[in-house]
Amino acid sequence: MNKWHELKAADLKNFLSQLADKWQVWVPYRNDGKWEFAPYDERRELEFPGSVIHVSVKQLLFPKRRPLATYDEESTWSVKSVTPGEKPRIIMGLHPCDVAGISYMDKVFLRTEHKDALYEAERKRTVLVGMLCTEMEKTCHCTDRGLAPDSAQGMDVVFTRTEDGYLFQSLSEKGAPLLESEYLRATDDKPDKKEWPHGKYEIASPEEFMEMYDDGIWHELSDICLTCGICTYECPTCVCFLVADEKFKGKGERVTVWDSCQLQSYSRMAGGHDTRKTPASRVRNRTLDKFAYSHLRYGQISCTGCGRCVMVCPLKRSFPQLGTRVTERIRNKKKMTRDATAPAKED
Amino acid sequence: MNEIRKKIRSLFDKGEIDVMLGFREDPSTGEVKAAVFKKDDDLNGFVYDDRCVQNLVNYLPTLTARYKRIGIMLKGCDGRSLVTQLVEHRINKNQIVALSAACDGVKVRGEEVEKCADCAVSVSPIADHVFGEPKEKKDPVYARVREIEKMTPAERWKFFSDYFAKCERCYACRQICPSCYCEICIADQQEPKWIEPSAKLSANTMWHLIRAYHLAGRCADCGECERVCPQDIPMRLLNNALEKAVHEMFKVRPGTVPDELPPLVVLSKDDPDTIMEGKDE
Repeated sequence: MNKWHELKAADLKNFLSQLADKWQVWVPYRNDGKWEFAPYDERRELEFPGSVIHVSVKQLLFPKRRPLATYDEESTWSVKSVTPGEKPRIIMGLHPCDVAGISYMDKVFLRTEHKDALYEAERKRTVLVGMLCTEMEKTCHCTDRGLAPDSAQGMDVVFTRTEDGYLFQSLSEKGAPLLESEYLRATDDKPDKKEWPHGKYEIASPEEFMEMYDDGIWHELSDICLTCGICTYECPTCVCFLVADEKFKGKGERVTVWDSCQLQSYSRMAGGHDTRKTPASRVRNRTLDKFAYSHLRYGQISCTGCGRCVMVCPLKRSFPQLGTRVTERIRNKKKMTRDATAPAKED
Repeated sequence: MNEIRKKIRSLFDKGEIDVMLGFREDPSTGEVKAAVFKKDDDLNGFVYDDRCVQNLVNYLPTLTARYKRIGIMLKGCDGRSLVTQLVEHRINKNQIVALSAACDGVKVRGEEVEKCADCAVSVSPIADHVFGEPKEKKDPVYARVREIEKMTPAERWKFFSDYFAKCERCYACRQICPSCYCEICIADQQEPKWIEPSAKLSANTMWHLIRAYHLAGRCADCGECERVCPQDIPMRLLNNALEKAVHEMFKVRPGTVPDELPPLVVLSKDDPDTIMEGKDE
């Protein structure tokens, strides 16, 4: 286990400015009341939120719009592929659920049979500096997803706030060079472990969810859903995209753009056929994708418990609640079959 | 409220409705959300007060495909939406039992919603059961549109483009709008591609202007597009500007008169001819 290093609160900006010489440093800032990552700016006031950062880090590694290639129709159709940025970068202040989201994206985009070159380049140049959460928001439920607000899993460097500063620990080879700074001092102090509440949104197993595929519950769950795409855009593990050509005055770009399984256009095919025509089938797709398909394909359910889907829903609906409602139905069904098959009691 | 609950119970008992579309208070959070009540559901959860902001008419086409008869709770403005949907043959009135209670304005986080200032009808123009007394209404003022009209074109462009740049293209505005129901939305068309799918200013501006224009003379001003926008883009303002133009030219406020067709789909000898006469700016 690597040693913890202590940083005085007064030295935080000096330390970050020092890092900014070698790396692009991204930190959370408040913009219009919402926390989001932005490039470090020493003139801005710095604060690390103790809980969820509203705009998911997803868009730093997998942006909404990614140019793949540019072309010029006027000259000889010259096609140039786009090369990703190479300067190493640090994303600082990530929470355990953010890092869990990135681990999931790694499984999707870095699997050997379909490697996403742009994602790989973004991921390679990025050092994940995570911060242990100090509190849980009303919408947070990572503890129900096998995570914890103070779990450092997947981080390159972890830090935590103390009374008069910060404690840093490097957890990977990628993270070690960050802590070579005169502002840091090795210490025997360690962050305290805490007990966190859980049980807000418990869910059944992926296999049990799969058995609900043909159940009528999806109509009930989708009855007031608008099937807009905002929960998928804000979700740290929703990674669907479409490919489009966008051109202006003879010059064009081939881009990937975020897509959403909640939108009507998602499954539309030639001839106007659509395998997910009803809201129910689209809500089913998203629910099963989070709680079953992901696990069956990548060995990890793709809900990290960050709660962003609850925060952004225009109707203030709780998506994780849909998971628990399906779970309740599964349990009730099981109970009913158990009761039906149990031998009758003898008087 | 008890009177309404009693009525719903009797509609269920007499078999006049299969489901009731209304609002339920979540006991754990105190939030009021749209809900579909079934016969065996506890109607004590049913609420109708100034927190019931959502326009429920948008759910009717989906529900009428699944159930024979649907009860729906309507504010006056929701009733305007119902009229527009019936006129455009989206739903069949025989499947709908409309309940409407005189509305005194709705509130979001304790503040009256802006649209209520220009309220056209306190009770739904079409209702099978009315609760309370309808109130007298005045002509609309369109205060916010008038503010924008005072700006120079450059100021207006700045005002709107700052908002459009933030659009994420989640289409919540389209999804909640009862009148936005094209089988293939213009934003989703592949060939020709009218609107690029990426969330950037040029494409977003296209989306917002086309969305507004497609609703000219049809929008019943429920304001839901703006309310659900995660980026708080003032979309109702665009619709309102068009509504104001339609009102000035045709003296029509869509949805306020049962069976009245949208003014832009009828020709009348009394239609204004300001463009031909050169009176239009």
